[in-house]
Amino acid sequence: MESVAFERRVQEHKDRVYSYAAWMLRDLEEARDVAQEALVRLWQHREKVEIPATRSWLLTTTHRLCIDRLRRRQKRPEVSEEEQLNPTPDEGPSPMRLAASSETGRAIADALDKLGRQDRAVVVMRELQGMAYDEIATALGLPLGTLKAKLHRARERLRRHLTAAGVTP
Amino acid sequence: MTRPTDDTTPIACARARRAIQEALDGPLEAASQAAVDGHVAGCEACREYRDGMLALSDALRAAPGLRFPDGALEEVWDRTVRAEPTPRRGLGRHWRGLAAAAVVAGVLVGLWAWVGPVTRPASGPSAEQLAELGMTHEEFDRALVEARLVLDLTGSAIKRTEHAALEQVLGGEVGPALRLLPIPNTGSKEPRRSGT
Repeated sequence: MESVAFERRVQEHKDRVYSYAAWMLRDLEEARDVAQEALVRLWQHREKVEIPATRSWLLTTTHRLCIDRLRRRQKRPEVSEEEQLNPTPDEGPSPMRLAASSETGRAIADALDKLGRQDRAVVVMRELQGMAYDEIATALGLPLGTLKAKLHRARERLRRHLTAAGVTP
Repeated sequence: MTRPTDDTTPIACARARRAIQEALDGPLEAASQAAVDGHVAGCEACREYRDGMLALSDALRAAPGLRFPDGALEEVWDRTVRAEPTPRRGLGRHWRGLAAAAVVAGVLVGLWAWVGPVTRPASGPSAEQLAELGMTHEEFDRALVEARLVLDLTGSAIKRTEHAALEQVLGGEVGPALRLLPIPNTGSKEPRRSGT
């Protein structure tokens, strides 16, 4: 049955979609809205999305929905020009930091928060979601070489943050 | 034991660090791995770099994840599966039913020899038309019987739109035949050949 197969896909991927949106948006309510929208779109496109491609399709869709939200945020008049050019995290700990259950987890959350939006997307997709390079390149619209270079630099920045936090050597 | 290299130039370090990063994604070729091991054995900075990257990989496994709230999931069901309580009658369901009908038709082909050739009206396809189809008269008659039997057997249960889809499914075999002439009533079993 179609609905049974869809429900199975949702159960398998709902947490990763929600987590990804939370990493990108740093707001649980917006992350919830985006995750819901991504899953509803999967229902609307269920006949076109093959089961093995579900994870990649959902994360790509979630990413694009997050970008739309972030662009709408930046257009708000109360957002200063400086913030538009260099978006900074909201004040206070990010929801991912609050969700961490260990000192290392909190340090990782802080380090990822310090990355630029696209670098964070690359790291989360590759290191936390296990997507292949070509899937990430498609999702973010990046050439493969550029993607690898971004990931390498992002890893080095994360390593420096974690070393400064006393978490890694 | 890997022999340390003496080459700790910036280029050598850059090359080694690139390989160390690539190794995080999967095993290196033996020669590349040996080169990295040799460089790291002789370069403290790159050794620390490698250890830091490995520790980073471990640390990332501790990254927090979130659980999608149950209430949010209920809203997803409301907007998807619950919004369409009737099973969606996509073409996929039609294809399965029509495939079953095609199997029936295939079984009935075996009865062809026992049933005998059907009567073909004088307006049947010419030899030229049959040649275009790549069929003999017998093959055409057989295809016609198949089409009639399948349609008769399933016609009462199939709605109009599905009937059209059935014709499409069978179009590979009997479609050309159906297009050439209407389904005649069963007449004399004596074959009537059109003039050639």
